[in-house]
Amino acid sequence: MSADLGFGSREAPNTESPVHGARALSRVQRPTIFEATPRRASAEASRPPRPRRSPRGEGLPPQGLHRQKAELERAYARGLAVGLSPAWAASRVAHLVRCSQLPTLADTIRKIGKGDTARATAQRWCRQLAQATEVGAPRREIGEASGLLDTVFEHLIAELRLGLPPPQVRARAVAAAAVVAQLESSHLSSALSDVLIAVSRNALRGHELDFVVEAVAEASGRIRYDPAAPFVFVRLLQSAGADDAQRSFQSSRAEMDASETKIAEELWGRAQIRRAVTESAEAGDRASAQVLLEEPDRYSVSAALEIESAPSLAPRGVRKLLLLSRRRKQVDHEAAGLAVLHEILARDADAPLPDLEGIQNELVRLKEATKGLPSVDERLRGLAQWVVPTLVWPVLAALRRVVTEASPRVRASIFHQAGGFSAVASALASRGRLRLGDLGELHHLRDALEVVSLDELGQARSVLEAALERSQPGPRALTYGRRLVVHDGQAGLPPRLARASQLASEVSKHLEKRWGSRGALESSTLDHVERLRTVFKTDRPVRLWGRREAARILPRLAAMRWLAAVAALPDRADPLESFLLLGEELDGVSQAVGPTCSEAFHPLRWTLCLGDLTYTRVGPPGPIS
Amino acid sequence: MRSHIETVIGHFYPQRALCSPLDDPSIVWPWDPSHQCLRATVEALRSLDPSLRPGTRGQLEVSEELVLGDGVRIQLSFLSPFAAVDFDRMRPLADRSVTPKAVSVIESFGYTVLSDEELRASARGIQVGSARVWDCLFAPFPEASS
Repeated sequence: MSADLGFGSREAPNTESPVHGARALSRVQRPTIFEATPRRASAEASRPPRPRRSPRGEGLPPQGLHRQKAELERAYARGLAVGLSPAWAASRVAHLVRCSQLPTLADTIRKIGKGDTARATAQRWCRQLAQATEVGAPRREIGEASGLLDTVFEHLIAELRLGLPPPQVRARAVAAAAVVAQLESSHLSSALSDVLIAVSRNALRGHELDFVVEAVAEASGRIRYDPAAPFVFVRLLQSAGADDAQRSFQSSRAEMDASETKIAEELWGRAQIRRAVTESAEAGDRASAQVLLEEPDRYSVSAALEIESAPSLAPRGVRKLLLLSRRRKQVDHEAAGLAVLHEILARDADAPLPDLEGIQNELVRLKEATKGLPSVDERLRGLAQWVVPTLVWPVLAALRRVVTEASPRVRASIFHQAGGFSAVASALASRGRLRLGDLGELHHLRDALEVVSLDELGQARSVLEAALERSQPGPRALTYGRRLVVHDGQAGLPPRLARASQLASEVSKHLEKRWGSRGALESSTLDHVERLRTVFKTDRPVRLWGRREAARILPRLAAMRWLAAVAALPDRADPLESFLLLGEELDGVSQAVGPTCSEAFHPLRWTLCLGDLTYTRVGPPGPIS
Repeated sequence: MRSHIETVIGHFYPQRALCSPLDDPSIVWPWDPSHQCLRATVEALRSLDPSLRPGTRGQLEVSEELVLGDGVRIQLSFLSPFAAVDFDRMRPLADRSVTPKAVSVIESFGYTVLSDEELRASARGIQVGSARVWDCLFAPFPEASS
């Protein structure tokens, strides 16, 4: 395995990368648990557990399990050794686990120890991950670590049946609830899990249950990123009864402010979704439940279809899904179409979209229609059918990818199918508030229309131009579609700016080790350009050499400049606009840098791509704070 | 102007496809063969803005990009005296000063600064696939990141 944890050289395949390394390694050697692809992992997980007996007797761990555990620990230690922060190292481990097979890790832990030993092992792992991710880590890392905790503790609850006596469980749960009500993030998952254990065993008395419910609900504003919280809600729903839990939740919600209420409602919606999946599993549909549970993103998105009362979940799940597809470099347009349409499901109530049932039907049709299609082009053509009724920026983004990737013939076909484009553009413009995402995508689409150059679209183009003109920023209020959130000029944005800056600095340092300093790159580029200016245009060999050299140097310089700009974000006068624009360029820079640094760009993507935040600005642009 | 652009495109893309003219040894580069005009333009821009630096879009085969201190990107074509200013970039919401002085400097050396509409127009000389005027006169092969 490469020792540089995702920053491997171009020459050597990055076998540690869960995205790229898995495919490469699987071709050349037998994959271990850590290189197994998620699809293979899910397939294996759906089989009944294979009885394995140690040659040395029952109760002893089979060969390989210690190795797997040791490998995870080595990965964590190696991350620290090469200079990664604990958060990055933990993220690395979480990646390995997530991209291999989560149940296997739990299985490993279970088989390595029994009873309290297993619990201690799990808790030690959870502590490490929680400590590593508690300070300043991006959501993805926290989510992965917490997801790991969920899995481990769920396994412990379901399989090991912890032998703690009820009074002890009760005491731990009540204490943990008190901790939950006060904690910011440290050890939150462990505390929640204690609550979970108690609730799942029906060990709490009435007033204790009320206290726990209130504590968790009260803390929900602070535990917004912890997947364990809705799981607790789910158990509360199951054990205490929906009415009691709902009443406690509502009474707690009355004391929250608007933002907390929103987050709490989201948690509540997630809890309900989880309950729905649990119920479907209990009803005997284990296969679908298993698939959903193995892939949390897909699980969230798919399960949301069944629950009308979880409107705030879908966009997050959709964006996760889209990012996941891009991260895996899969041209999975069925998933993209599913995600896009699902996002529409959860759009604003005032959007002129078909009703919920209609979209669900279309979704099913799209899924079925694209599943069996052999070529990417045909799948894309299927996607294009939905452009007209659903012109919002995710659709446009998907369409832009279509235009980029498809052949000219297919492009023409797509735009013929989108013949009602002008009407939709008018409808969009008549909404009176274009979102920034819409705006950017409309610009891109306008370019695409020029590329396609169909005369029939002349009218559409003129309407689009008019819509763009009307949407130019002015003194009136402008709502940005990237939902980010600056409630009072302090919340939300500054921490992300700081985090993005820190990540960019770290990535920049790694790149400097490989490529040299940015100053050196600037000077060598300048020398190269000035040298080429002295060459006659007819001197073809030198110019060909110059092109090769430029192809080598310039993307590196672009990446270094971009990283420097991101690192300087908190110091700039207009951080929000810079933030958005730099986020727009992230894909291009990541592509230019190449796959060896993709691992490093993932946290940046999650920090910079403003998929889960909301920002509304009224009045002319200017500094935020 | 449009016909002149199409003439230039027809000269440098005889295969009517978006292939780099540098790969075709039979193509003659009649305009500014020694980069003399380009060098003078760059010097004038540098005297206007000392923080002028090379851009990173393109691979120096059909155009050269220059970045001014305020981030405005100027693309100077090698094919003919055409220039583009800050094309194909999403601008910040705050109006960026597009440095009219820089544009006048460029034009004083005989360059024609093409408008966004002209750059986005479809290149009729390209019939294998499709391309914009921008792609033919300035675009990199393949496009590098910004």
